[in-house]
Amino acid sequence: MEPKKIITTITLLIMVLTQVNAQRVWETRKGIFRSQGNLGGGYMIKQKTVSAYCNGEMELFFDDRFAYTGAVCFSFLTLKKNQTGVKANHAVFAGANYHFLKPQRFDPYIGLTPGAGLVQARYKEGEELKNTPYTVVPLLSVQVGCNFYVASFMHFFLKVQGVTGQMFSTLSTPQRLDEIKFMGGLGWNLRLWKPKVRDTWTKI
Amino acid sequence: MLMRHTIRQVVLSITVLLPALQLHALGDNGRLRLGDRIFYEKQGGNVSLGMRNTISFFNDGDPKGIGTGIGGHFRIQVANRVNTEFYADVFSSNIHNKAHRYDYHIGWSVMYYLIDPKAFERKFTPYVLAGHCFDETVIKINGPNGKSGSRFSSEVQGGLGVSYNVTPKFDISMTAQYGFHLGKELDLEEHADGTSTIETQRNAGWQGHLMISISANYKIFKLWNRKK
Repeated sequence: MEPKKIITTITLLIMVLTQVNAQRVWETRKGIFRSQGNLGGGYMIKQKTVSAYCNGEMELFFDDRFAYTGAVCFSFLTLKKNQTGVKANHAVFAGANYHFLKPQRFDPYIGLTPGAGLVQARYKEGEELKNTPYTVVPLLSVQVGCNFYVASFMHFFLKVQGVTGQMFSTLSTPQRLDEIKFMGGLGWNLRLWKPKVRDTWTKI
Repeated sequence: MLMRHTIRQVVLSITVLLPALQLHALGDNGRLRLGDRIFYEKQGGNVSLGMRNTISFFNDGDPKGIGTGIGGHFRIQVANRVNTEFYADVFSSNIHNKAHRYDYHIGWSVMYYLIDPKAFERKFTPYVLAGHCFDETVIKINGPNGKSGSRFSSEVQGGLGVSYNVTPKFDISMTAQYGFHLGKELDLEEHADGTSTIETQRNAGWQGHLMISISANYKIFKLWNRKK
């Protein structure tokens, strides 16, 4: 293919894709309830182990750029039979997301989502393997993600979450809970209310 | 010649039109209802809800005593430059890998904006804050049968902060506060034989810690100065 044709094709493709991307699914995000459920994975930095989760998340838009968010994370057992470490790492998170772009199909965001973990660890006492009781642990967390709205009621998403915390419980040395979680899947949207025309914050 | 004349005409028209547009904009503002004017000009009554990540340094003067925690708060703004914050947080700290400590706080602060936030149209709004909280401290020696001790006390705190107003309604705030615990002192005593005990001393002095918190806040509604 001639270079001229390639350039023309690429230019046309970019034009079409940008147009698709710029299409608005809503005039305003305010009043939208966004929910998603998925299976996700994680990597525990200190332990150098992988983890697996079932995650449920919701987001409620209070304006075009801002939304309160909450998530519930249920962890699956990934430790081997005689391995010590974090056995269960369930968590709830609540916080806020900031969406960079005006309402359109492509929707990247960043969030601050502190949370609480319900954690159980397996440790060695002499030759015996023991489990700690479930312990509530404060968790610091930030997240970045991106949604792609296929329709007003449905979207695809990708999210990376960084979590840090420490567990003490009955352990003789604390267990770090620093982790990076990866999530992706399909989400659903529902308009809960329609904003009034005057319901905006404008400069005078 | 005709072309040059046309350009001149266009420039002249724009020059004449610009002030007219300005007048039009002023006219629009002039038509704002009184209720709207009060809403935008008077910031008193704003209620915001926020979540925060907190890091605590120098727990009881120990430079290695770093704690991490979480919390939430709501703010009620009383005037254009004065805000109040009501918060609750919890954080945990490691004490030399021998014990750990949990601090639970519930309290309030008054914030004073050092420069006029101008209805939070300004991107950065620095503030000073001071307040009081109730504090429950629990220290537990690590291990399955580790002894623990607790203390309920009061704390006064003060510091500096800055809000980055992403939009007039949404801000990210960073605050550094030093808090003094008032009342009994609770410490981990490490003995020469390697054992540790938890000691409580009455009126032994003021313990303190530096708290740095990063929060995301959103103004949800107004309690007063509302749109009519």
